[in-house]
Order: sequence, then C-alpha cells, then structure tokens
Amino acid sequence: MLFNSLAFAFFLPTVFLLYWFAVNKSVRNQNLLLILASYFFYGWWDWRFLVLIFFSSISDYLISIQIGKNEAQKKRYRLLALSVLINLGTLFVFKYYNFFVDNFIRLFDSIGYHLDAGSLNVILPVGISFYTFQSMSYTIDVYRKDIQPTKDLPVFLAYISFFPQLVAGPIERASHLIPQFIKKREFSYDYAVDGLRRVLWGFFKKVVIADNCAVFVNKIFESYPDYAGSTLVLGMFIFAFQLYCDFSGYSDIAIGTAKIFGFDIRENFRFPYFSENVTDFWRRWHISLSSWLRDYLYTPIAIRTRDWGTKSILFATMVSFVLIGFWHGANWTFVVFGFLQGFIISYELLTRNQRKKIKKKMNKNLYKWIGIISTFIFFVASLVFFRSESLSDAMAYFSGIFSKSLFTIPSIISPMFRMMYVLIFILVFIIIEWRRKDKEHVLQIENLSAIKRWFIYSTIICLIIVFARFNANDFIYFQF
Amino acid sequence: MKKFLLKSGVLVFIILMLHFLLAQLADGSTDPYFEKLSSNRQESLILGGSRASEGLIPSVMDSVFTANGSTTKLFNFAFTNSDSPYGAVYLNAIKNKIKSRSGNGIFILSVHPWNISSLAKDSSELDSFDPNDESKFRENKLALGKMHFFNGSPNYDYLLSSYDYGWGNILLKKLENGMFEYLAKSSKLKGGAWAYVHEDGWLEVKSMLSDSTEIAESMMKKIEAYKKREINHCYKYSSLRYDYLKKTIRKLKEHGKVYLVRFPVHEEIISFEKEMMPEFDQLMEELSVEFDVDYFNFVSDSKKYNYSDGNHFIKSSAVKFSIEVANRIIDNNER
Repeated sequence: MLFNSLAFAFFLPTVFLLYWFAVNKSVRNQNLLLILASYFFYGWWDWRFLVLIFFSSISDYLISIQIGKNEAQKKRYRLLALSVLINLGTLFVFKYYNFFVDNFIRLFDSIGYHLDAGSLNVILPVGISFYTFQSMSYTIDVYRKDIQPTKDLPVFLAYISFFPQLVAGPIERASHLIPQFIKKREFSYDYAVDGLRRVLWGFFKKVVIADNCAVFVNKIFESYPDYAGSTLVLGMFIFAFQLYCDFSGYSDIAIGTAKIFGFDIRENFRFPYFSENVTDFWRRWHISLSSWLRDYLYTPIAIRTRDWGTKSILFATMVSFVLIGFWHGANWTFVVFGFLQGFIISYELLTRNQRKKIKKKMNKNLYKWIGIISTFIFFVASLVFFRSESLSDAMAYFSGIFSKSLFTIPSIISPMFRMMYVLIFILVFIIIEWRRKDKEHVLQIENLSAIKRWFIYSTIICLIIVFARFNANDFIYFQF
Repeated sequence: MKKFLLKSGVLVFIILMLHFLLAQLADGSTDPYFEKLSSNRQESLILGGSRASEGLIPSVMDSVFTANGSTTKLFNFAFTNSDSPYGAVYLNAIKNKIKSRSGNGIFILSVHPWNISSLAKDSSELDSFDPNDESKFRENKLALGKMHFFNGSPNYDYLLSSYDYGWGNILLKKLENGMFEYLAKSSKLKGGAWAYVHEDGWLEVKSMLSDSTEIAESMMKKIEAYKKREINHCYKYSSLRYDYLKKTIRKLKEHGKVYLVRFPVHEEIISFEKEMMPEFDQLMEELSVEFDVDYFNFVSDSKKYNYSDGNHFIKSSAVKFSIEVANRIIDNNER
C-alpha cells in the first residue's frame, strides 16, 4: 500500500482508532493489531510477499533464541552464519540471482564458452533489502551480546513488519525499537501532533516536489539524446531533488506515522545537501543504511585489517561503499555509484591534513560554501549512474552534457507551466531547508503562535491540493 | 485525545468540503478525459483513439445532419491509442455510455492498424511478444480500465481512481487555459499547445503555432521522433483485439448504424502503417461485408488535410474532415 494512495487514507485512521480505542488496554493486543495491520499493508501489493517476510522473521526469531541459549562460541557463530545465509540467500535469489547469471554468461561468452543458464522469473518483493537488513542486524546484535533475544513472538514480528518503516526504512535497530514494543504506549497529544506535522511535510515533499520533478526527469533521462547538454544538466539537478524529496519524504511520513502510534523512529536524513564534504554527506544521507554498514561491515573489516594502517581504512571504506551501491540494485550502475562515493571519501581521508591547513588560511565562509557546492555537484553528477539504465546510458548522458550545447539555454519541457512551478518549488524548498537546518525537521514549529502554525498548515495543504501528482510514481526506494 | 480527534476531524471535514467544491469546477479544461466521462448516456458516438478524439467534431457533423433534416446528436467518446484500442475495457466503457433504449444511433468507429494491435515494451521483444495476452493490455491499468461509472457530472469515480493530480489542479488548469488563451491572442509566446474538451466530447488541441511553415516544421520533427522511437516496430497485430472490434460492431448494431472510418494521415505515417499491417484494408473490407456496415477509407485523401504531427489534424482540417464524413454518411443513407 502506498502512503500516497486513497487506500492508505482509509487504512491509517482505521488502524489509529482501533489502536487507541479498541485495543489500548493491552500492549500485547496493540502489538497484535500492528502485526495484522502491517501484514495487511504489505500484502496489499501481493499477498505472496507475506510468506517471505513471515519466513524471514520466524527463522531469525528462532535462531536468535538458540544463539542466546548457547554459550559455546563455535555454535553461536554457526547459528549466526545460518541466519546470515538465510537472509542474504533470500536477497540473492530475489534480487541478485539474475544479475549474476547474466554477468557470468557474458563473461564466459567473452572467453569463448557458451553457458546455458536460465533466469528466474521472480518479482522483486517490495522493500526486501530494508527488512532483511533490519532482521539481520537483530541476530548479529544477539550474537554480539549487545541485546538479549526476545522470546515474545508478537513483539519480534511487530519489530520486523512495523508498517510505517517496513518497505523503505529507516532501517531500525532492535535495541532502539524492540523496547518500545514491550512497554505500554500512552497517547501524547504533542507527540501525535508533531507526527502529523512530519507526515504533512513528507507528503509535500513527495507529491508536490518529487512527483512533479519525476515528470521532467523521466522525459529527459528516457530521451537524453534528443536534449541539449544544458537540459541534461538541468535534468541531473532536478533528479537530485526528486530523489531527496522522494526518499526523505517517505522517511518523514514513516517517522510521523510511527509517532502517531507512540513510537520513536530514527532519523534518516539531516539536510544532506548542505554537507561540506562527501564524508559528512554520508553521515546525513540515508543515515540508517550508512550507520548499518558502518557497524556491521566497515568497523569489523577495519578491525580485522588494522595491521595495514591507513590502507585498512581505505579498504573498509571502498568495500562498504561499493556494497552500499550494490544494495540499491543488481546493476553495474549502482556499483559505480557506490564506488565513486567510496573513492571520494578515501580521497578526503587521505587529504584531511592538507585540507585542514587550507581551511585555516582561507575565509571560513568561503571554504564552507566551496565545500557545500562542490559536494553537491559531485553527488548530483554521481546520480547520473544511479538513474541510468546501464553504464553505457550513463556515459552517453555525460557525453551529451559535455558538448557545445552545454552553453545553450535549456529547453522548456512540456507541460510548460508545471516545469516553471517545479523550478520555483525547488528554489523555495532549498531556502526553507537552509533556514530550518538546525531543527530536527522543517515543521518543528510548536513554539509559534496558533495563528502562524495554522497559516503554515493551510498553506502546505493548499499547495498539496493544487500541485500534487498522484498515481504517477511509487516511492523510488521501494524497488530496493 | 478528544482535542486531537476534534481538531483533526474538523481539518478533514474542511479538506473534504474543499474537494467537493473543486470537483464542481471540473470541465473540459481539467484534462482530456473528464468531460467525456461526465456526460449522460448517449445515442450516437464517435469512437476510437486520439485521431478520432481530435479529428471528428460532433457539433460540425450535427449541423450537417440537421441541414439534411436529421436530429442526430453525436458525442465524441474516443480517447487515445493507449486508453481505447478495441478490447474488453473499451467495449465495457461503450456499453456503459450508450442509452440502453436507443435504436437509431450513429456510431463512427475510427479504425487503423494501431488500434487492433498490442504494444510491446520495445522492438527487440516483438518476436516473443504475445499480442493476445489480455492480462497485459495496457488499458487495463489506465482510466477506462479502472472505472465503473462512465456518466454523471462530476464523475467522482474518474476523479478518485484516475485523476493524477490534486483536485486543486482543476482550478489551476482553468487559470492556465485562460493564460494560454491570453498569450496566444497577444502573441507573447511561441510554441506550446494546450487542450480543451468541448461539451460534445471533441478534444480541441490549441497550438500557439500559427504560421504554416512552423506547423510543417513541427510536424516533421514529430514524425522524425516517431521514426526514432521505431514505434511501428513495437506494435503487433492482435487477433483478439480484432475479435473485440467485431464484438463492438455487433453490440453497436443493436443500437443503430455503424460506420468504420480510416482517417487520412501524413504519407510517412501511411507508410509506417502499410509496413506494419499491409492487409489492414482487406481486414476492414471483410468486416464490412460480414456485418453489413460501411467502411470509409480516406487514406488516399491524405494530401487534402493538414496535420499537427502527421497523425492528428489541425483544427481547420478537423472541421473539413467532419463535414466530409457527415456528407458521406448522408450519401450512403440516401443510396
């Protein structure tokens, strides 16, 4: 079920009323209701997906209990390996199998051997990478003895399937979310209102900015040979805002919805387009994924290879970022996207001292703005790989940019008025985000007078009613 | 909790009322579909894709019929090649649009190779593509495929299931149309086009290009784009769609006279169509004999008309063609 659908408009109030009025006396019943609601929410796409999420949850639940019971390190390690195998195996079959088969066939073809291997005709379950990582982090934490395994099955099922963040994160950690399922939730007016504000801002970003940007981005990327270099540059920048507003909009709706039910979910974005370098950027962009990889991949690799000195950090960085790229999808474009991030972060690590010296000598503000602009431009350019269907498309897109037509006026793309609105919205959006960058979220406005608050709400609601696009796009990150 | 429910309840109520009011404003400027789906059931229909939607003007045809003593009132219920190729979805929509007791209607069906074909994702998969796999017909997921009610003003079913914008866009479109009209009149902007669906269902595409050379240049650009996309190599004849065309004719014959019309198009487009389905005219002739309906093939008149993109008429040609078709129907009836 999409957040921006009519079905969700009925689903959310129904679950809300049942949750706070029908089953509010028992935590267990509230959890059972959340499981039912979450499975209904997820099964709305395809009921067959439910089998997969249930299997994944049950296996990790049982394995974690066994890990908790066993003190023998070897046995614990084997159980963890089994859990990782099940999780990554599922991910491999549904997401990566066809990619590897195709590439092996091509590789063998290129050296003169012809392989006959069939592709799997499977659909990619929505959000599989998100809940698989969430489930996997649980068993790893139990193995590391960071948390005790829960024996309460409803709590665990609710933790894995909690509908606000099920299909596109933020990827939660058991140590943060499971205790919230155990204790009784009390309705808090301020908390719920703040949740609704967050939902409102998330919707604005998704349906007004992201989905309107999508119209032009799709046109430009699908027919890039027909456009001038300047239009391709514009397309690249519009895509950066589409992606950010789409994904952070989803996160806002997820965090806000969870708040309405009395839950606190981790932040996933902290105004990333104002980062002063790429390292900083990845501390503010898709935080739940980058911190997941930091804790479960980067740090263990860096510890294991600590004898290598600086090379250890560089190696761990490159592996982590290539995997971040690959996590997004089974395509070389994502691998290159991740590689580029890792490459620049490695460069930043190696030049940290020199850059500090330059910073001391330069005007602070100038240094900061050069950092913000160059980081933004780098990320926007790397997104061409993220958005393109193939590496050759991405390269052709770049060669289209670096032509004489780069110095022409970008084309007006139909519908003309809508393109004008999109550019205005992006500009206003940047200004608003800049002014609110010290807040937890843009609509943290509880200190304003009621008149001012309602004026802001009404304006956003009116903008959504007038400029929203629906049915146009799923959330981009659903495909991951 | 009470305070929360009360405040959110009031807010939801205001938002719903606002939507109710906005829906009342919906009209031909809303989008190319709304007006066609908001009229009452009709006695006589123009059917087909975008060529018919833009190219046959009911009011013009009605005036020709009136001059000949007929009281026929046509309604243009044609959409686009994506939304309304012949198939179960379109047939269902047509059944819901005809007056159940009508028996003297006129039904003009625009036919061309594309609306009895199915579209593959790209030309490379054409060989393995099954054009008769009804579950994959693209119209299933488009407006007509999602709707249950095809009449009534405003059509909430359409607005809820298929209108891709916030309903405030209804108001915005009205303002934009006014703005376009103003810019066109004051010649402050060159290029661009906007659409308006009249009460009789005719989709008028208004273009800011007024100069005939500019129109010709724009048309050639669009034809080049068709060629580039190899669009004709993505279509495959569907015997199932052809059967649905037969079913449509059979159904319409219960309500009046049926005419099959092949529109004139630019020569380049004709050559695409010939390459794609050389036996098309023969298929239509067979239908004509099988169902005892007239088949008017205007392809040879292609040079008599002007096109915006090779596929669709400009307004003056649409008027001319509507008169031509109406006269042909009258001539045939007199014979």
